[in-house]
Amino acid sequence: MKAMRLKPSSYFLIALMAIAVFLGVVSMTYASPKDWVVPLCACGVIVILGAIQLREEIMAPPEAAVEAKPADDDDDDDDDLSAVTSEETDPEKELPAFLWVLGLMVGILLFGFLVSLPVFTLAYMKWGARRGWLVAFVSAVLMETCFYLVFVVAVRTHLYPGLLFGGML
Amino acid sequence: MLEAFVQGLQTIFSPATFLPILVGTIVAVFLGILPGINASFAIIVLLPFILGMNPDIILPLMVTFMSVGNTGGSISTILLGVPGDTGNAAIVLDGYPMQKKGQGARGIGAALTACTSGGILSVFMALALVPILLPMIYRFRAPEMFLMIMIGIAFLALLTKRSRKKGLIATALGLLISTIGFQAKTGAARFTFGSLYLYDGIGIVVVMFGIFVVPILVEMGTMTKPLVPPGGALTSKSYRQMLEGARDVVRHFWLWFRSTVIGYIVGIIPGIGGQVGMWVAYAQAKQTSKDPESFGTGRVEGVIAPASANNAKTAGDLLTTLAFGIPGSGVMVLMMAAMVMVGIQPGPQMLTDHLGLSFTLVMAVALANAIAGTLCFALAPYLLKVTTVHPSFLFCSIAPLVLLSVYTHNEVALDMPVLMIMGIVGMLMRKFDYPAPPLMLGFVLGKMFEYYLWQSLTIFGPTFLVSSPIAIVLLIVVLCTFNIDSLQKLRDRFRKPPAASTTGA
Repeated sequence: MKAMRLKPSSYFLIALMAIAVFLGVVSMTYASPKDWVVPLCACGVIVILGAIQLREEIMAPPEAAVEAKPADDDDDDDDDLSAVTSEETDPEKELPAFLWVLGLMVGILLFGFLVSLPVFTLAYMKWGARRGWLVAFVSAVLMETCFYLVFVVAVRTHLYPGLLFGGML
Repeated sequence: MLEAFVQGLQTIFSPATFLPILVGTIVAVFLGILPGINASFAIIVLLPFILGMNPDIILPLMVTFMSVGNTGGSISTILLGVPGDTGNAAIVLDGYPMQKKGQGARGIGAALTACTSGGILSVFMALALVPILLPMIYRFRAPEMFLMIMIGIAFLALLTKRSRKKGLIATALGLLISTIGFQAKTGAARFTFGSLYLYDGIGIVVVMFGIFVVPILVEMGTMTKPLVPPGGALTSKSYRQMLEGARDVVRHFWLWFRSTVIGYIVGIIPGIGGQVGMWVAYAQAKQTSKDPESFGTGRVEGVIAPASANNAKTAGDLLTTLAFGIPGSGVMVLMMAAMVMVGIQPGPQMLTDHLGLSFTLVMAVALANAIAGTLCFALAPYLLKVTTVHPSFLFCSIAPLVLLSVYTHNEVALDMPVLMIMGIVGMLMRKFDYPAPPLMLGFVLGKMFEYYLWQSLTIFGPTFLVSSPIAIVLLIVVLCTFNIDSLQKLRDRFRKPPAASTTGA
């Protein structure tokens, strides 16, 4: 008998199913059918189809999974709004790139847009894009100036001041 | 109807609508050239800033972005061999070999002419279809609307080329997210867990940005180098060759016409997406050619066919989205989301209550195509310089813009952390090949789905699914779509020759 191995996609599916089960149970506590029928059906679809998909993923031989991948990549659906091909991107940089965005978000939440923006630009250009100090500094100043002129002066957008400077969640 | 047509015509040429279309076309053409960002991505980012504007401005602007992104993309596709937009994938087959043979400018001229004229012709075809659809639309009530939503979900989730199960799981997830917050009929708070933030539900902007924009932004952060055109970039002397390409389209008039019709028809069919039209057009060009083997080596017909079909799809796609509330493609789901955000419900009432706006939107496709074609012809050599921008500059300028867009929509800071959570979901879905548009569709249609379901049950009772001949036909379509696998197997069984019995005989 072959050993069953969970793939990363299986963990994602299991997490989705667990959330669906939890929300399905919560929905059953609602009094009116108008409140629980649709959420319960949605949860049911996720759990049932998720279980079938999980079974297929577990049972599929690893070779088939490897062969199936390029076919999926060739898919030219409108689904993907980006057209960057794998040769131009480095998949290992995905997590760092996400962490940069996350860092910017945390910075904005704490210090607001006007403080976080130049700091983020300077830090990203210097350590993320590995540019020189001069390029990083000029980019940060330009970015801050453009952002201020466009959104504060021209569009009069209210920029979040940050929790430390009186902003509210 | 004539009145609405004239109203649409007046709106489109009024300065308040014309100027945004002009600016939108210029921006869309520039962004279409850049691999990694496309016009749809840009419009999502900009949407929260323009939401306060009149729908007569926002919606034509969105249509503009969606119609002409491919036009600019065809330039970089032919010169760099990298489609600026996924919509240009088939053009690269003969376009890039043309560039290698030193005929890049001719290919660009042919592609631009075919794109532009195909887009304009498709608008006339869409306008001709409106009087046919109108009487049908008047018969739609709550059960028919409910079934139309089911068809929309079924088409997009099940007809995706990826796993159908994954499509349905994504749709159900979208539907589930849409149920967070107050239930419109009973006022009960669902899945809020005591959080005031969740009482109004998760915002459409947050979900849309998380699912579509964050994964693309992160992907942009992984790009290692800019795309610089190889040796033979366009110069101002290339105009003569571009005109030759335009003449090629006239020489191959029937090929252009057939491809445009194919693109338009495929665009009308919900859930299939215009790119199928592009490949079908390419295949028919190859099949009808006297020298099919030479396709892929730099034949101008191989550029004309997909380019014509490419821009012709938008008018058909848009008409289905407007008239039935069923998005023809993933990109149109975004259009539907934008319509909901400005308070206009896509669906039959677009051809009854908002017929003038519908005409404006369809005509915007033609106008945007005309402007984009002229612009690209005039500035093609200079437009390509955009591709030399390093992706790191784009990443660090777009990341703050994305967060600002999400914050600006409601001015609630908590939207940003929720965006990141949705972004993780979007990235994981992308990584594990779960299609994003069905999730967005489930989310956008979720509230309507519930509304029409309870409305139909209240008025017609449990037999609402068979309450009228139209409802019965729609129900059959839904059942057939959900059982498409079984139907295909049945068809294959009938088609397959009975091999065993022949051998036995």
